Amino acid sequence: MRRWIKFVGLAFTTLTGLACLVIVAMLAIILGNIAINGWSILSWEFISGKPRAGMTEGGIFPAIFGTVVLVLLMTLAVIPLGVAAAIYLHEYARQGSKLVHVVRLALANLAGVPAIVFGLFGLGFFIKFVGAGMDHAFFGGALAFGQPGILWAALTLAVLTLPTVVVATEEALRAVPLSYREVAYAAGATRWQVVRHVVLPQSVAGILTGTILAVSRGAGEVAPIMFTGAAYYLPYLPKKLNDQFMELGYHIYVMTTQSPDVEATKPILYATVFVLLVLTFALNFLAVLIRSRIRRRLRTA
Amino acid sequence: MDRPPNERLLLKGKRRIIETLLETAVRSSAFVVIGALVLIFVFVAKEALPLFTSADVHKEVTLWTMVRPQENGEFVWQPVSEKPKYSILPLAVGTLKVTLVALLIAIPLAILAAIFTSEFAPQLLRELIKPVVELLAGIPSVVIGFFALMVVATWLQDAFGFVFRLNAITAGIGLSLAVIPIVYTVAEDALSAVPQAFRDASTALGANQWQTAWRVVLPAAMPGVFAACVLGFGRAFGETMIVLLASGNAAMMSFDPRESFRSFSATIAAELGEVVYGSPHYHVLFFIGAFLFVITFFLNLAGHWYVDRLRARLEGKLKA
Amino acid sequence: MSTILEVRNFSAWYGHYSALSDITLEVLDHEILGIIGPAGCGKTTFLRSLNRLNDLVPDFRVEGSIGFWGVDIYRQDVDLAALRRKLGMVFAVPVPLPGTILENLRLGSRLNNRKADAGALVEKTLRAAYLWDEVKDRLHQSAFALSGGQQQRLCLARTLMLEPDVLLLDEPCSGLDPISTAKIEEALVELKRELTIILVTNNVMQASRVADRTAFFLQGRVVEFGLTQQIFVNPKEKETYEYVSGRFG
Ligand SMILES: Nc1ncnc2c1ncn2[C@@H]1O[C@H](COP(=O)(O)OP(=O)(O)OP(=O)(O)O)[C@@H](O)[C@H]1O
Ligand SMILES: [Mg+2]
Repeated sequence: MRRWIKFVGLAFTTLTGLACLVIVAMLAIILGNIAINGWSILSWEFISGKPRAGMTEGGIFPAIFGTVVLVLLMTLAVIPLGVAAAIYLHEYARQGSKLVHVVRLALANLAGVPAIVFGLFGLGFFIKFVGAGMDHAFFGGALAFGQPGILWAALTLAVLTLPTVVVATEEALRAVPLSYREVAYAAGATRWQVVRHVVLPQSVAGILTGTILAVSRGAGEVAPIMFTGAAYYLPYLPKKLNDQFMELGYHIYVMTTQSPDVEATKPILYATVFVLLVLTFALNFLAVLIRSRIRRRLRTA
Repeated sequence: MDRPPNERLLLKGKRRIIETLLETAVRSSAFVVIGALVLIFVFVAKEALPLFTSADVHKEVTLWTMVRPQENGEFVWQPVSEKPKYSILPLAVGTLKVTLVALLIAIPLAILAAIFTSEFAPQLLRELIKPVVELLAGIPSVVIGFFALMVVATWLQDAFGFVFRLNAITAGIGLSLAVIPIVYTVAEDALSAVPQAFRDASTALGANQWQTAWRVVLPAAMPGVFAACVLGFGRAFGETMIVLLASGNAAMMSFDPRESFRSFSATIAAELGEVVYGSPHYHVLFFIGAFLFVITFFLNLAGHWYVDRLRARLEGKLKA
Repeated sequence: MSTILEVRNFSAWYGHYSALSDITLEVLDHEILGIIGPAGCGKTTFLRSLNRLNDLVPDFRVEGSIGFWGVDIYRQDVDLAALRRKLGMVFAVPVPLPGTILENLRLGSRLNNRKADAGALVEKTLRAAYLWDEVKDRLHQSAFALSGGQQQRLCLARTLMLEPDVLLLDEPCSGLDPISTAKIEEALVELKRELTIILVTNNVMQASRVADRTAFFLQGRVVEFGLTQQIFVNPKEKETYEYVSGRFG
């Protein structure tokens, strides 16, 4: 009997360990496969060149450029809003109030809305409603903002990443000891001054980390930008906010599904996937690096 | 030395304008968050509305014709044809098929891994597994879809000789990769939230580590583990790019996981680009979007309700 | 001497828990008022009611009035920031903010958008806190590098930089070594010339050493309040006697 219990225990423990191993292996296989196949194709011409011959040759510079600009615009839009909402939730609102509850619920639900629904929302709200409204008001009805463009795609992604940014920011705010706030209040600080002079300076690194992580998630999303601004192929780079743009993730999707000859584009595809992964992971590693730095500093302080 | 009363100094004067402005901005951001969720629903539902109200749309499609058998008893999704057909049943079957496969893979893996991390793993290993899951969550879904299409599909076909290279098993495996992180994270949070006192008490009664994990910690964390499954379901249900790439995109009314299929989300992604603005097809696609929103909304509500229950339960037990 | 603070029938609650009931006492200008009492009797609550810092606690509620120079500080239109600058507070645990010693001292001027205070004021307050000799060469070093006792004196100096009328001290010497304690006590006696001090202390002897008058708190009430001499030598109440003679509980 005792033996049997021991055996079941061992089996159970092994099973859980095995599950971890499988997950690690899955990640390793994907990353390994893409790194091996992608790395060999990578070259400076590929990164800096334009697509040629129906995208079966040449480089992906316009897609890299579009991705970077898109992510920057999205970050610019989401940080002020996300940080403000987190400050509201953590520093201003009375904890346990109805409004706080509703806001948290909204955030949790926002985080669960499928990416493709954000795409529909971007099309219905930003393009057909806001954009068309702007055209009507400022451009005499001529088509300017009432069509897909990089601004609308970035804003759509900003809404998508908003909950992650808020959650990450709140976590950073929570790490600031309550006693620091009390010291400031006792020294005659107003609520805003406590935020401005104590809370934000102490949490800015944490906010940065969380935001970069959130942004890196948004950077790879394709579904929300398919109808809001991403284009199959463009011979030029986006110059205005209402220009369409090429984007790495969308480029991968297009080449995988619409390419006349998948085998011919396969090497290029792998290299593109590799570049996208490197970009998102570079952001991730940057965030993790900052975070571990802060943790170490807090531990020694 | 007697100081004069300084009433004037104590009472509120004018506040600085910038401060007031910034405070107003902070406070309104809370409403923007709520507003975002409301706007998403309103603007998706708005474009779906004509399906219920417009006579023009009704000439081609109604809610009823989307679910009832078509002539000769078929269920066909063929919106771009001489006579458009809009049966959403093949899409529903496809979505459920792939979601099921993904959950069957992801839930056991993620929950077992969560148990390992919170109960058995030494500190060092724990610090290793969490970043791995974070990295997995960081892989864009289009990359996972690409991998499923290019690599997994070939492997599976070579191994099992599938007739359809792209099918619900291929897509389900890819989809599980997107689901594992969320299930793992929520489940691991729930397990770690179980107070150490529970484990100590169990050990004091002579239980060993796995008995404690299985009979004490897991039951105590059950609402959270359940929440993890519900949230994982929501994630799988709405995921687009993986399914779009690896499903074969054939709207077939087949429950066989070895056959190609098409999901709700992938249908929107594949067809909205080409659709005529304001056509019945356009409204039907938005209707599907609104449907996805509503389903995932309630799944999320349910998930967070379970998380709250877990918290209440653990706190209640601690006090008792 | 004139009355600077006048507490009338003051009661306070945390939710339904009554932390202070019906406190009535007045504080004179330029005195050191000692507040003693066993743990949990409401000393900190009382102190944090005087600068309304407990307004930050979600379910905190008060009744009665506290007059500061004749103004009821619980009036709706009181500027809390101004009030808290007038009644500076030092906490039981030293809380230096991350940053240099100088940055810590200039917290108040940063908050009020004043020009950084003149070096003269910095030196004056550091001397008043008996810290000048120890830190004068390292004003630009991190405040965390100071010892616990030095940190607490820095916190005292930081509060003095606000030039308050009243100094609220919540067990400022708990956890400090005898030498640091002696330095702070010396500082307080000196400071009495410039301002009024309310000193909450767990250390009965400390009250007997520095306080002019002493109030003995028990379970949220003032049991006895009078000249320190009288409280310690000739207490009227049995509980006071038991507490000050160390026979309590
Ligand atoms: N934030 C709070 N919420 C609820 N109850 C509180 C809070 N702060 C203090 N109390 C309660 O109020 C009572 C008085 O607390 P207070 O901190 O004023 O005591 P104290 O005399 O300062 O004790 P000590 O000598 O231990 O510092 C205690 O019973 C305490 O549990
Ligand atoms: Mg206290």
